[in-house]
Amino acid sequence: MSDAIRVRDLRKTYPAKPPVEAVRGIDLRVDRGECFGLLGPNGAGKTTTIEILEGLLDATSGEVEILGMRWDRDGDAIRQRIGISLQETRLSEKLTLRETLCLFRSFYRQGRDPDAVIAELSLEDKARSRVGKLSGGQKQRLAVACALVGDPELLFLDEPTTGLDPRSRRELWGVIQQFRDSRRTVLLTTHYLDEAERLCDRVAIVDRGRVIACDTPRALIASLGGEHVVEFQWCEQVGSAAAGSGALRPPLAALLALPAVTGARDDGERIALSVSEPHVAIPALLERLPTLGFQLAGLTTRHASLEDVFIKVAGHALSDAEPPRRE
Amino acid sequence: MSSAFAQLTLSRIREFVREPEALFWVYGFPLLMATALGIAFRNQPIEQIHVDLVVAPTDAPSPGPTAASTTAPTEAQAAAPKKAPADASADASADASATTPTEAATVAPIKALTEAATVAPTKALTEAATVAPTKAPIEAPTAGNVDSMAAKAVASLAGPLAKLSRESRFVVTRGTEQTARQRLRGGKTDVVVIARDESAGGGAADEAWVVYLYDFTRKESVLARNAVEDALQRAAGRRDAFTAEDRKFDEPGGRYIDFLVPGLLGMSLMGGGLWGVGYVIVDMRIRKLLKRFLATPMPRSHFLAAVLVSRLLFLLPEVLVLLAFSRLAFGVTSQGGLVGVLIFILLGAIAFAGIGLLVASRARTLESVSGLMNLVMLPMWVLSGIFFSSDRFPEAVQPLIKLLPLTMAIDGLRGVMIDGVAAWSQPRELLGLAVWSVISFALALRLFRWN
Repeated sequence: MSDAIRVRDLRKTYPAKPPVEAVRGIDLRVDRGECFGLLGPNGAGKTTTIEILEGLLDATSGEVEILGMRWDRDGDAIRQRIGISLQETRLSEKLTLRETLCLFRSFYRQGRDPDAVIAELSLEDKARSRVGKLSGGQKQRLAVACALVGDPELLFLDEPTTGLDPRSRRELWGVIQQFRDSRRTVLLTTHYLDEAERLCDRVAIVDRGRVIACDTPRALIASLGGEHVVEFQWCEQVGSAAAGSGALRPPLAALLALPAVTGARDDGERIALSVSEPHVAIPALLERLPTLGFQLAGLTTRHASLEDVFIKVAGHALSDAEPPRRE
Repeated sequence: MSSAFAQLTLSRIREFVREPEALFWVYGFPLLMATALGIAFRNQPIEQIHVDLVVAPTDAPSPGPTAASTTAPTEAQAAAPKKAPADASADASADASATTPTEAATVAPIKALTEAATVAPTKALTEAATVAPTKAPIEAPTAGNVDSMAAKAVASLAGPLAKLSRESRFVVTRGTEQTARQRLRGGKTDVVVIARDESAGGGAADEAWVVYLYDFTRKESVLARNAVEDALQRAAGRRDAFTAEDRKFDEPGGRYIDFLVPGLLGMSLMGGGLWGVGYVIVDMRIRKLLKRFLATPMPRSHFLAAVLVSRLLFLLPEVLVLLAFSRLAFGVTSQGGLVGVLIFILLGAIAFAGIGLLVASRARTLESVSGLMNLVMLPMWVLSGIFFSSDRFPEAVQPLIKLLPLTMAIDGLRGVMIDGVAAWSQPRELLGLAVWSVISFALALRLFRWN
């Protein structure tokens, strides 16, 4: 059986002065039955990529295969078998939720009973409400319901939980997990790390039009060399013997030399160390700092996250990218 | 599960019906318009001619006829007009001004005339917008002074002017030349009659007694001028060379309302097609709904067909309401039957839906599509003969005007409704609209942008 999605050297350049290279050579392979996440800051090229995969945009170059088919030859066959939720679609406010779902159902040769989908998304109470009267979370669930009503094998979700409250997000995650658990494929984009970590079997980190890392969340975190992060703040030790060294910040090289420390990053206010065994690294750090002329001002430990991976591979924090684009 | 086409059409109808404002604009507006026009036409069974009368002040060069019969009425006149123009028009002030001529007239040496003149002002009070002084002399002969005016040429304009004021089809307003000019500029009056005062004798007989001030290019003004001239000349004693009879023509099909209804139908076809298709599609594009649909296997032809068919469905009541209203209120009927009317309405609706689609094929904002729609509609509003015949435009542009889809639709409808010509006997209009439909749809589909 073919892969759900296969992408080779995908490029998309928007004509402008100067031309905007939104996607600059992306390779992807998504297996059937997995939930795959494109993680990256706003403006990284996630939406452009997913819209090319959905057949809504033409690629400038590169190859795309969806369920073993190609858009230029089998467009309609692909559309029959995929479900899509766009980032911003304003469905007709005057139609009821159920009417909207029936409308979308009519586009597919085969599909599910709209009422069953409504029940699955716990929208029974709102089935007869007009779309204009739904809350943001309900609208978003309806958007996903419109994607599910054609009984797709492959689901594309572009930023499905952006702007939702925590409860609505968790509800939607449940729906997505349920879909994946029925051995079908999901490709979603997100700029939420917790969402990618929680939902996705594999994650591709996208930055500036390129995939800069791609693996399971666990493997990506493991690639940091340690699953733990030790962060500390410092102050200069008054009257220390080593104070003459003149350094204002603890040198990263000295920290990297500590046992069980696999990485070090200066975040400005604090220093973050990637650590494989905190019980080894922390005593060593406490011992070493005074000899460097510094006093510990604060220390926390936590599990490493995709944010740490992102910062490591992208060289900047996820939130440092351009502000979100909105029309 | 029903087909995509059925569901899309149903959705369009639901959206439309659940939008009260849209319902009003589509169905209420044509009715309001028809009602307004109905009132405008009903209240004026006989056309009123608005005339402003300016009696020149005494110090103006007097062209009064040298052969003035008596000096007495002239004196009375001389005293009166000085005051008259100032406070003429209002009913209440007619009372005040009326007393002056009475006094003036009583000074007059000839008794008969004096009596006649004192009768006049009371009469003037009963007649709106009529002022006493000019009346006094004309009452004189009828009031018993038998031999004076009837036989001879009229001695002064006063009589004819008073008669003009009494004729119901003339609405005479007195005032100064300045205010009269102002009213003429504002279209409040059709013609200004400047009557030379005839007090102090002298002045040549061939000098004009009356000056008509009006816009030579304005039809109503020309009509008014001729009517006033005719009335004054007759009142002054002109005899007709032969007798003529006026016969009213109001057969169905010959009235303005019969001309107007097909025009309104065409206008509503155009507006409905462009707004109902163009605006709706651009709105869906902005909401990214078109893009969302594009991502489904929805057959695109079904979508466009649904937009078109729902448009035609909305049109049906719109057209029927207008036709029924104009029939009930004005007795407008179609001489050529309803089938021909429906054929042209259907063809027109399709052509304008195609043009609406074309206009919407690329526009990304409501502002740009509104601008484009106005660009398309404005020339047709002006040129295609909704309210007046397009034949009024120069011969050179007629071929172009005839090519406009609205001209074709309206001409076709008028052919059926007024002249009773069958639709298929108007191949030019029929084929023309079909060609517009095909070209606009073909072009729109080629240019259409879903994203």
